[in-house]
Amino acid sequence: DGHGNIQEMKLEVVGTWGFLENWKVFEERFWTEVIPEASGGKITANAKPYTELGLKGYEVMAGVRKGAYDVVHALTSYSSQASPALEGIDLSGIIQDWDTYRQAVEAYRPIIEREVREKYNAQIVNIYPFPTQQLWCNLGDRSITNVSLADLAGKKIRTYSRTQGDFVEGLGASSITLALAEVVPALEKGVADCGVTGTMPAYNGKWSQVVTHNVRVRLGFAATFTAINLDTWESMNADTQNLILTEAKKFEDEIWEFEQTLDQAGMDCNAQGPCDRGQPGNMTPIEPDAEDQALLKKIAAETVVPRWAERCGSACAAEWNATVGKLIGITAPTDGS
Amino acid sequence: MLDRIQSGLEGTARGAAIIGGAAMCAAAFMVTMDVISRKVFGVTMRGSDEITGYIFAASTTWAYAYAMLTRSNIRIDVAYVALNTKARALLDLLALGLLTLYIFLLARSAWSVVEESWTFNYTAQTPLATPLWLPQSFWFAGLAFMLLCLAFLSLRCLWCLAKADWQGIGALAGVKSLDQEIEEETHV
Amino acid sequence: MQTLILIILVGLVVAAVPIAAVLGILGLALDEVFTNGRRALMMGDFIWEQSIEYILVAVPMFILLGEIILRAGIATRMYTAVAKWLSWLPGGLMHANVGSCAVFAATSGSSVATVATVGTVAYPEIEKRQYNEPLFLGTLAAGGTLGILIPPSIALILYGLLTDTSVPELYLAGVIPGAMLALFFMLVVIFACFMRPGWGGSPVETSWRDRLEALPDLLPPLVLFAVVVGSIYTGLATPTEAASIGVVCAIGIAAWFRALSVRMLIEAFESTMCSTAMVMIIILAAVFLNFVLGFMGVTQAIIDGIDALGWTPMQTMMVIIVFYLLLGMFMETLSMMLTTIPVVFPIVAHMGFDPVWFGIMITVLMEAALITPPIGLNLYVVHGTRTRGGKFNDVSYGALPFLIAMLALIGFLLTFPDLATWLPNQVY
Ligand code: NA
Ligand code: NA
Repeated sequence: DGHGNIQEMKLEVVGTWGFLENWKVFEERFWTEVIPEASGGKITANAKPYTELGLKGYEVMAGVRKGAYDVVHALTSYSSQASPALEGIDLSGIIQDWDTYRQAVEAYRPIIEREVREKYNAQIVNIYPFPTQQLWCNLGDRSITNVSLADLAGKKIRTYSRTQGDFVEGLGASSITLALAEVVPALEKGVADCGVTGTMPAYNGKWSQVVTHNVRVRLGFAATFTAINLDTWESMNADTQNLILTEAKKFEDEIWEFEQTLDQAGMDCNAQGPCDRGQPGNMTPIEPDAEDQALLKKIAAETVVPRWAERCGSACAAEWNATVGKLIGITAPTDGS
Repeated sequence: MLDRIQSGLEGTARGAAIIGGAAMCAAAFMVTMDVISRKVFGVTMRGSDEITGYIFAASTTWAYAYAMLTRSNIRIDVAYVALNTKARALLDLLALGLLTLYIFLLARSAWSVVEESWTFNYTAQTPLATPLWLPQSFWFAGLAFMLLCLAFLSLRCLWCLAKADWQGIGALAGVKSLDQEIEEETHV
Repeated sequence: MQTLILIILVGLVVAAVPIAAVLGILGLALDEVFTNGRRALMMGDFIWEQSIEYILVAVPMFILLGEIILRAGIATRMYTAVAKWLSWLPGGLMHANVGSCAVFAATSGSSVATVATVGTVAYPEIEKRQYNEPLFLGTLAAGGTLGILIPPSIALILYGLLTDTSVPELYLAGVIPGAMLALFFMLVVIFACFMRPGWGGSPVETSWRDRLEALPDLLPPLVLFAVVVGSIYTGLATPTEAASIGVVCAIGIAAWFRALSVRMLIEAFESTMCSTAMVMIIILAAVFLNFVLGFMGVTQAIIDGIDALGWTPMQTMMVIIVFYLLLGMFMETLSMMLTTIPVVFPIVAHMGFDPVWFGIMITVLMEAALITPPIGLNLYVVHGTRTRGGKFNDVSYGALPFLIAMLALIGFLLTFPDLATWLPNQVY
């Protein structure tokens, strides 16, 4: 049969949030159905989402590097404490459309692969996004429609990554940190005025109960990769590796399509619908106009990118300029540290 | 001699616990200032939550040794109290042995965390960009100190075991009697 | 496999091995035997991430708040003031015991702090006014349990952390059941003194003028409660920030009463860190064990097992309640909560119960555990305040009627879940 050279193995896998589509539709199915089927039952897996294991974030990558498990699906932002270069693919607010973002990932992929291999002892097999991260604000009155991005200066905005913090400060707002479980109460009570989260997570988390406006600026795509511990990877023969790479590529192509649809569905469900998941959230959507786009560009070029370049160093900034920077027309300063 | 070393360890542990408590208290003032400045002036001090988290982690591991040396570890003594001195001493040895083993494994694993943060120069993904080895060293040192105390206590208990001094083991590592516990709980 | 885990766990616990070591070693051993031991490689990274968790910072802050207030010398004034308002009821000062515990509970996150404070002040009154000693002691032991149900509460913070439930919602949910339970306790006293009028002690003489003049003495605990809980609900602060503000306020109150000294602070710091260490070492081991169990799929196996039994949600809940009542007789409350919630909560959630509601239910069960012999922390503490000595069983018997009141509250919570969920639903 065609599975003759496939090695028998049982992999231990940690996935992303157990209650989100990326796990439910893709990651879990990949390890419990797709791979076992494609390998004729030779490769099986014990796959668990990280939420079910009580993991919180950065230690997810320590686990795959140390071989506590074989495979991890992890956000690039979880790995940036060892490699600021990885943050470069998801800088807040610099890219506003899906096609450009996918091109940026393709351009930056060799750098991501190298960094993860060197710093995390792991092989990347695919890279994919989540629904986009947008701004969700409690402005008190849903009937207000003339909101511009500049109006958010001075607001308290809950962010969960450093680059989002940079964006918010570039906007002239203040960035606050809160545990996810506290965000909705905090938005209700005005501890925070706005929060950053994905379009579908905002709907699933019932943010519409406390949020009046969805400011549709894209502050990130939550780039995620599948990485296999290098010792595990190198213990596989070429056929086994190829099988995983082939299936991972199919996964990748499907999920990029899926996320765009999901992203739109998330925005619709939070606004007036149509929504096939339940009641629409009736938030007032704010589409960025030309003025807002100009402000986004200004924040990206003057705050987000330079601050990141400072963390990352000049060699790293130069690599970014030759890839993502060239694509979107922003140059990171390379005279820093 | 052994008693003097033990009281030295106890003094250090108590001092560390007090410093840790004072640091938490200072953190409470810092967080309060932050809340007030956020409400009144609309500005946040960046990272008061992060610093508080580090103080919390480090002061807690340093207090472990104090809790252990004052025999405040939570142990279920339903069966224990019904036994004679010798049987209790054997359970105390088991308890001490397993606690030492656990703290050894934990401290070893914690060391690898500090070592990697140092080697690869990890920084926190927060506005402060704290070099992680710094708070982690304080955190690890607390665990290491507890391990030192446990090792010392284990040796003393083994010495008692060699002399068949069951009461000695109870005095070093036994569950606190009801009277002792009540005396402490109600000390105002 | 589950049976083996359970046997090892129970064996080590009964052998008086420290709970933290039991959980930690069990986690490592299970992983070694069943899932090739690789999780140990990242134990340090895992524990570090948990150790800097900002929500958990509320635990030492609330303990410190309680320790400072305990030493600020406001307990006697507060008790006397509450007594002036409540002692006209049949049972006299026993209502003051419950009432002061409820008021003090509203500032302190700790049950032990509550019962030690009020107990020490109230105890001399037994002899002075000829109360029935067991019942009087029972009001103290039971009243002291209110501290973990009426917010702020450390138990609810830990529950929120382990189950990803919002702490402010849990706090709101505890208000009505907490007030009901205080009322039930007072009804128990009234009923007992109605049946046996001799138990109620000699009456306390007071006037409206006395009552009004005593009001300012109730202010410190109420101010603290208003600051801590108020700052959460007005959106000023998160629970951790509110606890920190509470510490600053408590120091202010201690200074106001001229009770602030270096020595007093040092004692408070020492005691706070000792309690914090005891709690944290168990929490960290429990979350690591939970991580290993998650990989092994134990929780899922238990859920499947219960599904296979075909129990209705209500039957399952009854079994869980009986399990906690029995376990609560023997186990210290905090370790009981930390060791069982990771396994029990997924079952409860799977059965469709509201997480906030279950948080309140389990807290009432913890309260019951505090006053059931042989291991009941509040019974010990009350017994410890008896300077004239006496049989430990006096306290146990005296607490029994209040245990029945708790069972009644459990019944009400089962029948009318809104008692817990209505208030948070109004706000969130
Ligand atoms: Na309380
Ligand atoms: Na009990």
